[in-house]
Amino acid sequence: MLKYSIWLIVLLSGTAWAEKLTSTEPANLILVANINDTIAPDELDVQAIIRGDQGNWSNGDPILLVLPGREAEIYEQVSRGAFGESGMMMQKRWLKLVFSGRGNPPRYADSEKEMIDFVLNTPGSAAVIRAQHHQDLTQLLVKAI
Amino acid sequence: MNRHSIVTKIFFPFVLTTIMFAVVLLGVVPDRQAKILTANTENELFSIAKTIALTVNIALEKENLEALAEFNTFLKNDAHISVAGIFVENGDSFELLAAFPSEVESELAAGVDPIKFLVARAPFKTSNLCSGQPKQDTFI
Repeated sequence: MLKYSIWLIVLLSGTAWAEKLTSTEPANLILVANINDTIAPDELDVQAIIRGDQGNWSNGDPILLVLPGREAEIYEQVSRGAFGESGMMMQKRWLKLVFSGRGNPPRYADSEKEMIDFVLNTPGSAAVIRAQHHQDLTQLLVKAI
Repeated sequence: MNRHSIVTKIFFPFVLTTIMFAVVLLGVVPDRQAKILTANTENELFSIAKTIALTVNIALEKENLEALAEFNTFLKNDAHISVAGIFVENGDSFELLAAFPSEVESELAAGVDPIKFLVARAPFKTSNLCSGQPKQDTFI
């Protein structure tokens, strides 16, 4: 029994380690946005949106950005892929923008599913997620990063 | 001089008393009022600094920037507050993390002149923003 328990612990530890490795691997990212169809994907400046340089959509509505929080599996993937920096630096960047009044406060989500659900249910919102969810989000505007 | 004249008995004491009152009114009272006003303003600034510290702590610990955005609106509408900054402890020195308004960032990073500004400071700690150096300070 003890032998099996040890093997189980080793196996679970290995799985946890593998998951941690996966979450920091580079991933293809996309920006998904819940905006009306008057805005074409080509008109979107993705970098300006996710870096807070652009606070409103071209129709004047505020951009409600959803970013992965520390608990989210894609926290480091998104921060490295979209911002080119660590998750901690991404949070510092947004704290700076909001404190100085240059950016709308982003919402942090604990999972990719929560991010997608928020964007699906909130007009004017946008999020950076992994490209693998692309097919399921036909009602949203999607642009590769 | 006649020591029993009406001038000696009434006028001189009156003038002396008036001069003493004038000295008190022109010298001591404004000075004390200035000190009280400065102390009150410093208390107000300190309260605001503590609120900013708390707001930043919530923003970092709870990952919620809504309160910080609300506070930014308050700062914009308050004519008494000229500059606010969030500093992160970096070893023996402090590094500017964020500034309000953003135009004063470089000046604030260079340091605040305590002769020109009233400065209030409220330290706070977070567990996740700084690796190994969790202490941060807020100055106004």
